[in-house]
Amino acid sequence: MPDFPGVPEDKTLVTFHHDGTDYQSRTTRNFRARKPWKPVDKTKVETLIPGLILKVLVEPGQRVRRGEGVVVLEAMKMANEVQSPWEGTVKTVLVEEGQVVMKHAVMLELV
Amino acid sequence: MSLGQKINEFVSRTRTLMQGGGEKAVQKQVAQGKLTARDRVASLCDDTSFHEYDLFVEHNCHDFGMDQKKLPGDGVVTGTGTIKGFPVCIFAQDFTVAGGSLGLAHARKITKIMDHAMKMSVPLIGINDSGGARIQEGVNSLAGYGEIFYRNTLASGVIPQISVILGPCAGGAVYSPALTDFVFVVDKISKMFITGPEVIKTVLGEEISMEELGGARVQSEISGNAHFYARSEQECFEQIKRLVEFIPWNNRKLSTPVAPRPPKPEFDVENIMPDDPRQPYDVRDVVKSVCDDSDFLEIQEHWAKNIVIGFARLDGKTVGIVGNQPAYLAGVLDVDASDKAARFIRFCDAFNIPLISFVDLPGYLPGVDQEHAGVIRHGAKILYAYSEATVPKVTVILRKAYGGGYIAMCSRHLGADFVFAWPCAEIAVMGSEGAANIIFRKEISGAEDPDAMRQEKIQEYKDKFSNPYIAARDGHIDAVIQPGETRDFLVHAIHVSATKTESRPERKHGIPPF
Repeated sequence: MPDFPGVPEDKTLVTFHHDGTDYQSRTTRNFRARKPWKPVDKTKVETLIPGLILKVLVEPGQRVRRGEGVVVLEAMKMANEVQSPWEGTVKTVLVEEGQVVMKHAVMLELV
Repeated sequence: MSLGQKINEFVSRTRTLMQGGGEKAVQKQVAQGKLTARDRVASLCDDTSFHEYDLFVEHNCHDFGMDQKKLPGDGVVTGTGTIKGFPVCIFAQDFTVAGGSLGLAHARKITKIMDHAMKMSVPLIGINDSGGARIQEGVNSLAGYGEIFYRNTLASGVIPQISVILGPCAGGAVYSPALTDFVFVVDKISKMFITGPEVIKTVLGEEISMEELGGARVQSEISGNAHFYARSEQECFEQIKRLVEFIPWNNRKLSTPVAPRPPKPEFDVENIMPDDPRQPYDVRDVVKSVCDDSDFLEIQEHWAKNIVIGFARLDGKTVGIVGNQPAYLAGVLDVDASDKAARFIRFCDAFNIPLISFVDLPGYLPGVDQEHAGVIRHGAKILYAYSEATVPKVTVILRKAYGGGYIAMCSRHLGADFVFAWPCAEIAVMGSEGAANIIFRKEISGAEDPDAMRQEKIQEYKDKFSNPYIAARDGHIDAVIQPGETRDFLVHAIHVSATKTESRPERKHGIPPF
């Protein structure tokens, strides 16, 4: 019996190597969907929440400190000042005022 | 042997044991910026107040050459002391002795001091610095861990339990701190994880450093496992001392009151709220502008910043603060914020600490990731924790209180004893735009200029409902107050709630949406 109607059961076995032993086992949907860990990219400033760009507070070539406001993003009925999580010099501004952005959209590139 | 000789022998035995793992191991410890276990307890406790017990305890393991190995104190220092005059029970793992590894004797020293803390009803502080289970002792070391976890659980909500991670704390060992109330970490010294980088690499092929996996910053900023982050051990000890002064010794006592003090003049409650309701501000400024001496001890400052929790005092008495933080993610409730607030609310309720909630939130955070991460289940925790709490509950609606967020943030309907609202409060079933689109759908779609009609209807709705007076008319809030009156209303509310009694139906325990 499949778990859900119309969805064929995935019986693929995967090898898990743990503490010198290989285990044959099936995987869960959440396990298959997980994203591998990536080191933090300290050259990008991303949105954490979707919204509307109200104002860009920096321009290319400008030096920004950690915690400095770089963009005003309207989201959840609020004008949120997005702070730069990193220190650096603005290389490119990838958004403009009035633009709607999704979550995790890259707004600035730093060098 | 004369008494003098016996005393000399005792002194020499003690001296050897007090050296822990010996000079070399101590040097290695110090070179990493770490204090030794005994120096740590001495720094944490009031001068000369620490008294050590069970110094002569030895392990009973004979396998793998262990019968030839003497482990001073079996790798852990236990005792009692005082912090700012408050009695505490302490254990500190000694990394210089066999890497602070935990065997059965080591664990039994810890459980003995835990049992003492329970009997005496005083806080327990555990300093963790250990390589993990003592493998030579096999399942006995697991037994040791299990006996500690069991006691952590039984002591939960009875005595405050504080864990300090001052070295590695890996594998099963992490579950003792995880079961306690407050976890302290120090930059570059603390490392916490269930499986280390090596195992992750062999099983999943992912490469990561210990620091990136479970360092102090990760635990305080990403995972939320840690409650306090410090840059040095000394700063960490100062944080612990501050915390101990805010909380009661046990669940039958109240926090010790201190002399009342007014807030500092630089925090002006009249000048925090921006005129534009879309502009952010720092809710911690509101807290500091109303609490004694503007002294606010924030907990989990770096994680789920969209909600602020911590301790402050009103008229000398400790209160627990929960506040939506419009400065981050517009102050929305999400999975992490709900988790963070709910646990804190339960701590306050267990330890007789009145709760003050400052409300300003647009609602729950929309998003596929939030829904799939179980925001329903996690969000429910905050409702559960507020409803369950029987300590005095006072709510101040500063600005936005919409929809489910309004209900969740200690509304009257979840049992708040007092609900106040500032004149700029907006208490409504949902934002004006959404509400107008639903209520006036026909008018808008039938209009010659639907956009103009929509704007008109949004304004109409805003004028009517974006204020505190409808909720006040229906008795859902008790008073509309000016910002400048907030401290007075809060102090008074706490004062008249001192004898509050509220009972709950008898049951073994509730089933919170863990």
